[in-house]
Order: sequence, then structure tokens, then C-alpha cells
Amino acid sequence: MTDPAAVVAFWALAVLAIVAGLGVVVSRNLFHSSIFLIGVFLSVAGLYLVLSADFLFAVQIMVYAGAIAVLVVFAVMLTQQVERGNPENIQWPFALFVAIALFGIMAVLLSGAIFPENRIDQPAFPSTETLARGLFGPFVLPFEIASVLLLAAMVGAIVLAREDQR
Amino acid sequence: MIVTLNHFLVLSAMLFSIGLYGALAKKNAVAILMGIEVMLNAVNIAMVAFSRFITPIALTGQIFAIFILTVAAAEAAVGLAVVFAIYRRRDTVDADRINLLRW
Repeated sequence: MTDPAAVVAFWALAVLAIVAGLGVVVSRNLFHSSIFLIGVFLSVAGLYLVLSADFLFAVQIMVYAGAIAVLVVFAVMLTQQVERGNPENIQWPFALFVAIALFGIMAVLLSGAIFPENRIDQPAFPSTETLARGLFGPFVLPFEIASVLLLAAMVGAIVLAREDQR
Repeated sequence: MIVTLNHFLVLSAMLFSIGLYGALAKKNAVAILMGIEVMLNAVNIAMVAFSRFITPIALTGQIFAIFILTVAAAEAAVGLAVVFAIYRRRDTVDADRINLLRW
């Protein structure tokens, strides 16, 4: 990807995504964490646009930043603890070591990997028609199963969260 | 400066590690679920980057990313409903205190 606008956009969005991700896990205030989570979702949406995934850019904003983030904010507000805060549990040094070790291994391997990149074909843009042909063609079975999964999740969430019938 | 597939993959790995630390090291159950969502977003970046650089015509990675997004939405809804139900019963969302099924 040599287009200078794309390069600048990638670096800006990458830094934004990392800073927002660190904000999610480091912030003392749980509500600030959820705002940083919205920042992660929006940076990832921008990265989709850099990768010519226009439909995913719109869907990411609608589903993640528009629905899941609101759900997380609701959960944060409804389960407010008296001693507000976002503390780490007792195994946080091991978690930090595991996360850094995993990133180290992955970064070393991924930066040295050589992939058979296809630089000749241009990506399908807009991507909506290609995605639709894929979803209703070869991937129609996962598509139908995903709709059943969403129905099950909706019923399950309602049953779990309703008032007890006494 | 050129941006290759490896740049996107290292970014995805970094975001995944950050989410992993959040999922492992936090006490609050909602904070753990936030870490899981960050991890799923990191994987989605990798999927879409692979689709863009290796199969730009077929967009298979983007279809995969749509399914990951769908499952993540369903899982966030059910997970937060579970957290809310536990909070209503036990008045805590501290993962260390929700330990009835522990050995």
C-alpha cells in the first residue's frame, strides 16, 4: 500500500487504536474504560476503511460503537460498586508477563513472515455486492446459523436479565 | 514508506495482547468483557488485512470478519446479561468473589 494518504491514515489510526486499547486496560475509572473502548471500535472502523472494507466500516460503527458500546455503558452504570474503580486482581504480574511474551513471539514471527501478497488485483470496492454474493452463496449455511444464534442470544439475554417471577 | 500486510498483523498482535492483559488481570467482570471485545477487534483487523492483501477479489476474510462481529455481539449481550443477573443476586461483580463453581 504505497498511497501516502493510506500510509498516514494507517499510522495515525494504529497509534490511536493502541492508545485507546491501553486506556481500556489501564484506566482507573470503569466508565473511562468504556469510553476508551468506543475509541478502539472507531479506530478499528477507520482501519477497515484503509483496507478498502467499506461495508465493514459502516457495520462496525453501527454494531460495535452503536450497540455493544451502549450495552457496555449500561452494564457499567447498572453494576456500579460502592468502591468504584477498576482494580487488577492478584495475578496481574503474570498476566502482564504472558501478554508481553505473547506479543513478543507474535511480533518477531509476523514481522519476518513472507506472505504471497496479491498486488495486482484491486480490491472489490464497494464491497457490498461481493459480500452479499458470498453470504448468500458459499457461506449461506453459516449465515443461517448466525441468525439462529442471534435469536438464541436475544431470548437468553432477556430471560437472564428479567425480574424473578415470584 | 510502504505499509504491508505485516504492519497490520503486528498491530493486530499488539491490540490482542493488550486485550489479553485486560481479560486476565481485571477484577471487575465488565472490565474482563471489555478486554475480550478488544481481542475480538484485533482478530478482525487481521482477518480483513489478510482479505485485502491475499484475496482482494473474493473478500473471504471480510465475510469471516462479519461472522466474528455477529458472534461477538451475541456474546457481549449474553455475557452482560449474566453479569447483571449475578449483580442482582450477589450485589457484586468482582470476579474473585463469584467463585461458587471453583474447586
